[in-house]
Amino acid sequence: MKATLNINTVLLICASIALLPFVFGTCLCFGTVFISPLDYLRDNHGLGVIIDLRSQRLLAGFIVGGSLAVSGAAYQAVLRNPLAEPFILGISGGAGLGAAISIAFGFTALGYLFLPFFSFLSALLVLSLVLVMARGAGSEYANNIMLSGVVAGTLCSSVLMFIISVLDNHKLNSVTWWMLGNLEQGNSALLHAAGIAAVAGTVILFHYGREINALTLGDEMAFYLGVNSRTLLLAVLGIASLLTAAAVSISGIIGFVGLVIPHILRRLFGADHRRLFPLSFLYGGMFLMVCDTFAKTVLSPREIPVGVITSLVGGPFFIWLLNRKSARLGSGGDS
Amino acid sequence: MMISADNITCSYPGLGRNVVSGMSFAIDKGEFVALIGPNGAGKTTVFRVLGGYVKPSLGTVRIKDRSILEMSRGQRAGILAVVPQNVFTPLPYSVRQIVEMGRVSRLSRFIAPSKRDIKVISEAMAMMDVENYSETPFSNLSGGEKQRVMLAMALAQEPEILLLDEPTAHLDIGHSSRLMKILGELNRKGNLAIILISHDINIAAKYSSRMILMKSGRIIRDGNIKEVMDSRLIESAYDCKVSILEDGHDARFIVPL
Repeated sequence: MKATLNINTVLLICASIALLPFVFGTCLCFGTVFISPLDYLRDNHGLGVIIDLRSQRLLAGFIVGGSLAVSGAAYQAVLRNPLAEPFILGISGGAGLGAAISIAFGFTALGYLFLPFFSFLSALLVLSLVLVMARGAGSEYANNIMLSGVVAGTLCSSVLMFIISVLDNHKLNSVTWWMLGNLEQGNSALLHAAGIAAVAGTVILFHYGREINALTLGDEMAFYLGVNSRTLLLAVLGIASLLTAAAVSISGIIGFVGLVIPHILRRLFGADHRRLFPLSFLYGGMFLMVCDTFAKTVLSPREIPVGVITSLVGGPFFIWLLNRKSARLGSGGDS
Repeated sequence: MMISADNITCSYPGLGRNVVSGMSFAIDKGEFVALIGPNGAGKTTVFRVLGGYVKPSLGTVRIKDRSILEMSRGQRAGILAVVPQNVFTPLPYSVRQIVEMGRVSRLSRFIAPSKRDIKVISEAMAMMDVENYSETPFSNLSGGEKQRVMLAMALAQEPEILLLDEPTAHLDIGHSSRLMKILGELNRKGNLAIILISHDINIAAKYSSRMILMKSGRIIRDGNIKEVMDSRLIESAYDCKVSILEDGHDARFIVPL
């Protein structure tokens, strides 16, 4: 029995890159009004502004989706847990708290960069706390990191709940809308910075792909194979968390992309991280572009938060994944 | 001298006692050594120290007369392969991908594995009789098959020393004796120094040429099979009455009473 399709990695990645303009172009047509590609080509209605707005939003979707999928793949590998996702280290809690504080205290009125900046900073603050809390756990390090992450996330969300409970209606609305996730984002400089970070992070993770493969055998085994396992673990966690924090600061919390995309890709193309990281970036990005297009158009002119769409797709998949796992354990015996 | 431990002493934080205290021994090229002793004797810790994963609080480990702490990770992994107990991966790697991980320290990060790398990987799989499973997910294999894949991964490192922690644990007598025969062959033909930890004293005695018996972090006997397979010695080490059977061909077997 074959584990997966055995396709040349370079060909696979090139084919996936070739798919990108097609998906981008198709998504570009949909919105409050449908614009056919022919109209774009003729451009006799002054469509330039619409194209700019739509493509900026699609670009945001691509960068956010790609970052989340890559960091999900990285967390699942180094924490050795298939249920790990980008927000597992309390990053969503931290970012959410940062955003809520900046909205509650009115910092957002000082400049539109305050909110992403605040959520980014507080996500990194929570992450550092998690890594410090988990220190000195010896061989249980990966497990301890996850436990600390869950604890930190819960702490943040209870403070967040407190802040929400004392907010006035208008601010409450902003906080809720932010937490639902939204790709409508005006600042292209911020977007470009996050895009460069996402590409650089993916390239670095790809570069260490073989070592990361070995690290999934555990810290000790990887050490014997000649991998600098502790340093690599921290470096991968750091890169994945930076990508997540950058994505969150652009779009708020968008769930399930980071969990689902790596699992589907592993099932189709295998677990080798030398192909998994680039593919996660490409398909995570395309998935979120498509989801966001649905979010804009399904109930048009009303817009559904994109997080709702990804969760509606991702939720059932997650349950299916869990059931598959327990079914295998139930019948597996000593395997 | 392939690998030697000089007065290694080791403790874990918060434990308050030494898990290994003042052990010294040296293993030569081509030796096949069994490290035996009761649960909690410190056998696995000795392996972690020999492998460089745990730094001893005292003493040094030398590989080919160089301190292991002075060697680069790649140099170490190219000479010494260690297979700990219960290694698993949560992700669906194929058997070939797992065996390829054995070469991670030798592969360039920039280019695909060379022809020679692929040859070594295939040979390691053939030697362990797992080449038919090459595209099967590792997690679908049985315990015996998984153990052979881990050994193939270790062989793909092209090591000169092989440390195996309980390679026959969870294996039935057929699988464990086949595995031990393969190890014996590697030891003789490949001139590979092998040290293994085993709870099965009889299997250890049958295939190894030297045994090190330890208890409470110390060596209580280090010698050939006859010297270690002594009923009084085994009784005091394992705290259990035993009797020794001989089959008339120099082989000795321990039977608990």
